[in-house]
Amino acid sequence: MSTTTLSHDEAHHHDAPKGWRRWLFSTNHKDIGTLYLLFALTMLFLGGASAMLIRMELFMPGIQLVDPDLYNNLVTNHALIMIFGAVMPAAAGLANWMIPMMIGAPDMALPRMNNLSFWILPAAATMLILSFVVPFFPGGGTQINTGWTLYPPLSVQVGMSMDFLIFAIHLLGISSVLASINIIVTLLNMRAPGMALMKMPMFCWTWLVTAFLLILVVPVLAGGVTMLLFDRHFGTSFFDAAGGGDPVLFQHLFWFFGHPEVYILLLPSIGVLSHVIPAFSRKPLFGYNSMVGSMLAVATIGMVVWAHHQYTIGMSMGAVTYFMIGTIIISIPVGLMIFNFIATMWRGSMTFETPMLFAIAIVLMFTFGGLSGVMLAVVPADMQYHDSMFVVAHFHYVLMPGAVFGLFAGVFYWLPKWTGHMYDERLGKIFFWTNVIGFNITFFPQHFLGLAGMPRRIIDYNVMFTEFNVISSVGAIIFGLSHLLLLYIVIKTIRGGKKAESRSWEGAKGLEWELDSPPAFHTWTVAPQVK
Amino acid sequence: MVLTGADNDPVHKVLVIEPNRQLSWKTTKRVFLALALCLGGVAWYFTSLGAWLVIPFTGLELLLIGLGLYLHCCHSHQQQVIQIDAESVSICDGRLGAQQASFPRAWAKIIQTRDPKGWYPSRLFIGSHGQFVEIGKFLIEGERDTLADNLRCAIQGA
Repeated sequence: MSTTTLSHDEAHHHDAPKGWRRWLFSTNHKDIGTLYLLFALTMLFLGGASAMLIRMELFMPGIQLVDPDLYNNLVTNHALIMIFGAVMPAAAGLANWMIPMMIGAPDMALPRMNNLSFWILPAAATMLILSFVVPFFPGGGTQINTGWTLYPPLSVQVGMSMDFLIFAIHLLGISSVLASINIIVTLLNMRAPGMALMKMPMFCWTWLVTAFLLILVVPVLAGGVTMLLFDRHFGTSFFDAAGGGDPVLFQHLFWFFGHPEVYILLLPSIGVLSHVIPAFSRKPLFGYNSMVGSMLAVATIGMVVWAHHQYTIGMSMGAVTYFMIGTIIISIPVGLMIFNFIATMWRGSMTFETPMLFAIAIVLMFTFGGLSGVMLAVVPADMQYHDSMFVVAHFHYVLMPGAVFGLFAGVFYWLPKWTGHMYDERLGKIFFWTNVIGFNITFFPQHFLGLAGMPRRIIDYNVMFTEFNVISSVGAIIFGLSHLLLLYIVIKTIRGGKKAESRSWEGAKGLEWELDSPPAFHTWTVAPQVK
Repeated sequence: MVLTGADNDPVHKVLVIEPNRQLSWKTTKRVFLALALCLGGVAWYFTSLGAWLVIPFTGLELLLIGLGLYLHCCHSHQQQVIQIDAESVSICDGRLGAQQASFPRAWAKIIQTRDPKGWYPSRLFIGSHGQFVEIGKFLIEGERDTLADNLRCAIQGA
């Protein structure tokens, strides 16, 4: 018999903890979600600053502001910060805030692990920043001029900043894996009674698939960068042809992670869209089952087509054909998702608040990015476009609308729920238009630059590319500055504004809208019954 | 989640307390096996290409996934059975069937303690004569409040 002697304490408080301990030791999913979102916002500005420098340098031909190695380091850091520091943590922030509220769970399944997976991130970000800063110090070695792909042999040759970067990637990987395990366990085991998998909100489905993808690909990247570390310091020759190794092996390892990473970035935003479009069309989502099926198909096929990033390495004809056909096939389930979104809007009572504007922009521009993706999937065409600015334009058209606009839509859609205040709709729309116009001015001309032969990752360019580069850089200034407005809107909404109702949007459906705005510190202390 | 039995009997009551869960042990094992197969396939493929360093990371990750699933399943498969009859209140572990404690019903007290700062969940105890046993540790806050009320009614309702 196990019994205990009690001291009586009948105080009744349910307040949120106060001070820095609240954030450092938090196991509350809402607090950790907020931390993720704030971290992502900070990194968005850091990554954005490096993008601004890149575009300022490319404003005119010649070398103006930075030297070529620093330019390439900016390119490397911009990509890594935006992918690992901004988009993934922002999506994790939305997941932390929304998943428990959407499935009627009181918190994430493993709250302490949740705390750990967040607090690894600032350490990783510090390592990432150090990798950029170290070469400025005496004995710090050369800049990381490899681009985010870190291909050897160049990555074996650069200075100690690469070691900081490898460590940062390991930490980011650990954080992602811990978050994924938490999300999988939460979604599989903690759904409210009556909520079968096929009744789960679409955002939760997208995160379930994303978490499985992360689980499958992160160890491969971890293995790849560790092998790189071994080649750099322990005399191995995994990627050194002179020692019997193969530099192309690293490309396979990297892109086995890198291509599914695109879907890891995209799927949470597709989940957001699956809530925003029905809410503002005042219709249920068209084809729930086919959305789930498409997502699973995208994830599965996306896992086995990585080498379309490597057409130019000299693969066999059979392998190239396989990767080409596989890549083109992905457009079928992606097309089905887009069709479902359009069919949801069809004959709906649509209104055009900021989240919906972003959703429509995604449908239009992500489709455009997808089409240029099909162009790149075709081997003979890709041989021409490879490593040109066309590729830069393509992946920004995929990732900005597909991932970042989706996150913006989610932030504007759920901001009233999180803060208890409605954001300023007029400012929201101004932000939308400046952001979208700025984005298109920046990246649309880059298609032409690429088709005309301007290579990517080169600091200088031929004078014949000047006009489009000037347009692109002016667009980048508008685009970059528009994010200050986002910051202002978010701060303004947190500080006050019109009181948000529980169901902040007329057409919003789901358990999260049954809760107060803002929700209590602990929610769903009694599990809801889902019919 | 509290399931009540023998509702019609004002003297004898049985309360089965268990947390909300969606995964059975069998499904948990299947999920883990499916993940292990996929990860094993990936590790095998890259090892065959010479990238054997993928294996330790895959293994470590699989261990973490297994641990996460196991710990959470252990937590979500806890069960306590509280039997109230005319003379006594007994608490059993629902999974193991072992009796945790038994108290005379006339003296049994229900005490719910709360963290003064509200940082931690409340704790619910049942006992008498200074000896108490914790019940419903695995429940969520609202369920624990309801259980405390129901138990008070059930014990005093004889």
